[in-house]
Amino acid sequence: MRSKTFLALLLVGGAVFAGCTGNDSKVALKKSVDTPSSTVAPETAPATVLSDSDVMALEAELSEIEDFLLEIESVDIDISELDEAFAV
Amino acid sequence: MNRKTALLAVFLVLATTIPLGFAQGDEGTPTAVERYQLAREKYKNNVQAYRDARSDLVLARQKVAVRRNANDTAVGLERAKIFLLRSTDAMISHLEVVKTKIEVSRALPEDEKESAIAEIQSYITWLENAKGNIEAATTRQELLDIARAVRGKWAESRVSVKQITGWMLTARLDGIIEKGEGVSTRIESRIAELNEAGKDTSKLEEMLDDYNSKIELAKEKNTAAKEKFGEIDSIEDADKLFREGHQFLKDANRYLREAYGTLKDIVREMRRLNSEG
Repeated sequence: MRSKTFLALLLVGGAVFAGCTGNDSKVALKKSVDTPSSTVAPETAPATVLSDSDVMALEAELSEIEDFLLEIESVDIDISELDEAFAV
Repeated sequence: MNRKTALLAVFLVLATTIPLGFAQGDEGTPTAVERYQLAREKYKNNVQAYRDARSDLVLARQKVAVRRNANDTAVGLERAKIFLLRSTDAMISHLEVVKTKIEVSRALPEDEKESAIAEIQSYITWLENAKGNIEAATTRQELLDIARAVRGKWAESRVSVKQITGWMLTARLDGIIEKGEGVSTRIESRIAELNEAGKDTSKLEEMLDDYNSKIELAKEKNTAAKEKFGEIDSIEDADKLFREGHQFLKDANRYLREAYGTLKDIVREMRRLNSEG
């Protein structure tokens, strides 16, 4: 009977731990999507003037801008085909 | 099953459901970023459907051309309707992508964002209504008239999309440049500190000049891009001006990348000076 109580407590602990982990990963995911990128920390110490993640965030932001420009430029929906099809 | 086993089963269920509950959190509806991703996915699918319908139409036209002596003188109305409907769907989903992109943009002030979204939405609504007319068309001439109107509205929307995109992306680059200028100010004060501590900062100052000039060049290119995008006001010149603005933005991005490359060297030099006795 004691061992079953212990098992039950273990499961509760596991459930709470798993819940917290799920929450953490959600927060991490939200951060990576929603936090403004290329934010450089305001301290003057060399390490905080620029970190690797700042450079990566800047690169991601610039690439995203270029990708979107290309996407807009490459739209080629053309319905003039219809006139020709009816004109045969 | 005794009571304790039942209790264990309840815990097992809890253990599997709690993480899901946390993962969903308080946001039952998708975020703007998720809506943008979904819109892109839908656009890709609709463009594929448009391409398929276009191929069908071209193929049908070729078949009709071969059977010129037959009574059929053109492709069927239904096939043409499908093509036009798929095309309109692709147009709508492209505009949805642009609309959600504006929604996720942090660069634009709220009022400008709202007016841009309303403008794009007006095209979406118009095209949605046109779909009803396409479905109801009973003659080829009727369908051709609708197609002409759709083409005109689509061209008009392309002008707006190019203006808004240019305006949104240059505003975003403004933000990046501003941050770059902020970094420059911090480096300057750091150099002053190192100077006071008796360090030789001449190399550092040289690198900072290089960094500043690249940020300045990025700024100039971004301004030039803004001017090009700002000139877009008709279907005739929209493509050309957008391409030119795009090129200026690419140049601005290149200077920003170079500036950040220099910044890495600056940080390295600062570390070296710091580690000196």
